Amino acid sequence: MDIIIESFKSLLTMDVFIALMVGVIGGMVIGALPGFTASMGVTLLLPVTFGMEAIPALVMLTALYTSAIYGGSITAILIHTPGTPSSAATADDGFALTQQGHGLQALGVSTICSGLGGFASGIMLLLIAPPLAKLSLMFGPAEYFLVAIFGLTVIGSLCTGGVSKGLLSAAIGLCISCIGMDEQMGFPRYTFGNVNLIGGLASIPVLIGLFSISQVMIMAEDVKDADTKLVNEAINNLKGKILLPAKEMAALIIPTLRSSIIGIIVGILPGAGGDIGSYVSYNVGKQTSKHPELYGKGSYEGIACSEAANNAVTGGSLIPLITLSVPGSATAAILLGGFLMHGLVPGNLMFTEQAGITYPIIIGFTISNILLAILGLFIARYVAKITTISISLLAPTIVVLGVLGSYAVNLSMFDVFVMAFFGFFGYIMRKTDLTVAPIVLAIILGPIAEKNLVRSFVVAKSMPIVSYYLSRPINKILLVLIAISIVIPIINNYRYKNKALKLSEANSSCEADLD
Amino acid sequence: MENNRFISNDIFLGIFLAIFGIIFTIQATNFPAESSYLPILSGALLTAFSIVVLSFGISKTVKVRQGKADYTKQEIKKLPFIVWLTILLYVFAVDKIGFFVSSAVFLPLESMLFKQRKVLPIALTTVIILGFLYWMFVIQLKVSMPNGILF
Repeated sequence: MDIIIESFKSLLTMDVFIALMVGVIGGMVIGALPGFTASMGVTLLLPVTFGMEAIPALVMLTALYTSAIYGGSITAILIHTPGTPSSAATADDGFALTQQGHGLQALGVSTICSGLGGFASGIMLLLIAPPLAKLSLMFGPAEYFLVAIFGLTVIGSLCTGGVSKGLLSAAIGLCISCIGMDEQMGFPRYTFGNVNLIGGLASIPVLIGLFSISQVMIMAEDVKDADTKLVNEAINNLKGKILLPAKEMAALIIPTLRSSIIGIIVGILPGAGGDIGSYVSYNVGKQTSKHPELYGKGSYEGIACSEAANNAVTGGSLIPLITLSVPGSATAAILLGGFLMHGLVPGNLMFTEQAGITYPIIIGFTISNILLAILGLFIARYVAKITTISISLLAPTIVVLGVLGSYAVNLSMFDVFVMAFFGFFGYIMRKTDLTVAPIVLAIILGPIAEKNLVRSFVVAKSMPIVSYYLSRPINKILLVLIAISIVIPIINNYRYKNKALKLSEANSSCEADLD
Repeated sequence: MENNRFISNDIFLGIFLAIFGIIFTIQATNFPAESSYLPILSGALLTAFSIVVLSFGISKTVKVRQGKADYTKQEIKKLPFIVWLTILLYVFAVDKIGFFVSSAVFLPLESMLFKQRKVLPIALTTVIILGFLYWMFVIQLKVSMPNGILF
């Protein structure tokens, strides 16, 4: 309890307050801009935190993460354009309510439920993470190596391009992580005599290239700005009170609580992000609702389910990150880079030696969700105005920020060229259905996996390495989990394809009958 | 007719990455044993998954050509590549000329490339962004910026 009180005290500084405000408001703006994701926001802000203390820096980044997820709902509700994929499930109900003249109330429900979902996940993070981190004491190098591989297989298997492409992306990331001096032996690998490569590729320029520069190239494919008229009309039509009457709000308590739990569980699963959390929760809500017919046509309950869940995913995804170094989402993977950059090593150490920094970050994250709910009620309608800023002004700005962010890491122009290269590479990846998230995770987890793989060889001594791995009970569980994480998506994919094939055969036979 | 010429992108992707994976693995065999574990594992995985993607690509190509599967023709657009080239030029300019001068030229030109024709928003964005970055990085964070021959 003392540590919690101490943590509150350490948050009572002007630095932390400014960091919280920047994170929450910045996150709302980034989330509201279609095409801009939480990952991109955290990536661009990461270099700015170099000169900051660990607590305000990481409070700002985690606040931006949760707030960007909420921000996506603003444009989803007002103009039927989800700012982030996490708010896709909100768009139909939210926009239907806007068209019915209840847009402001829809924003109110989204704001309150997002805040509650995020807050619940922060509390769970505070309760679950410390005992879970103690479990990590039972882990040796072999277990850590398999945990890293498990993280990669799960995130790879859940990719939209299919299991094989997801795992291929992870393998590319592992190869990239091998570049540079080997930490154990001090041997330079794949450096081709270039001194800039001896330290390996800095992860931030790679992330900025993969997420931000490739996104600018995607924007160039179809230069189309938000419909200013539509946004202005939607904002002008916002009327009434933002909060629903108490009775209607009370009816949303159970769906919000249930969705928060679903979101936290989905968040803990490595690789499953806010979009999966919100869809799962939305479907569960629809199945259990007294008014399922309203779902998709303007249901406050639908918005509550989707929004509480996607914000609950944020705290959930930080649980495996802080305890085992396995991020639960792509943004959490980037945050892992931030934790390491500020000298925090995930695991039990974070709750013992580094507890003075870890607890304030978790509490700061929890508070940011309350702040999000309060600020959101006042400024959400104005944040929507941001979407009228032209892509033609935003895209060059992202490039300039990316160049500066990449340079600031090591004050090296080489890193800026690395960013440009990975921008092109990221664009080609997206065009070939390769997902960026597994690469990012592999680049960050690669060195951790390697260190533990080498150590496990040392610990195994003369014992054959496979026998050594199989001799440890936790390893057996992890190996089964790795196998499941690969096999189940393959089976699901196969079933889905078969179903689609049967459906198309049935359709063509119907057409033939009609002919 | 069009279907007979269809080749899945996955074939090119699979071949390219499989070759890359093989070269990557072969190079790793020259490293000391302890330094080669992860590179060999990564290279082998890259090769294996590339072959899987390649085989899916071949199967898709055959199915589309036989009319058993549909495909969406992907249009290759030039503007993203032009944008990337301008970014590369900008990075070179930052290195040789300096960050602020290069950015003051890049921001308006890139906005125009993205079809912005109004001068006032371009000018305002350029001044606000560069002013903010100067305040943030030079004055507050005391980061030494890439200077080049100018500023």
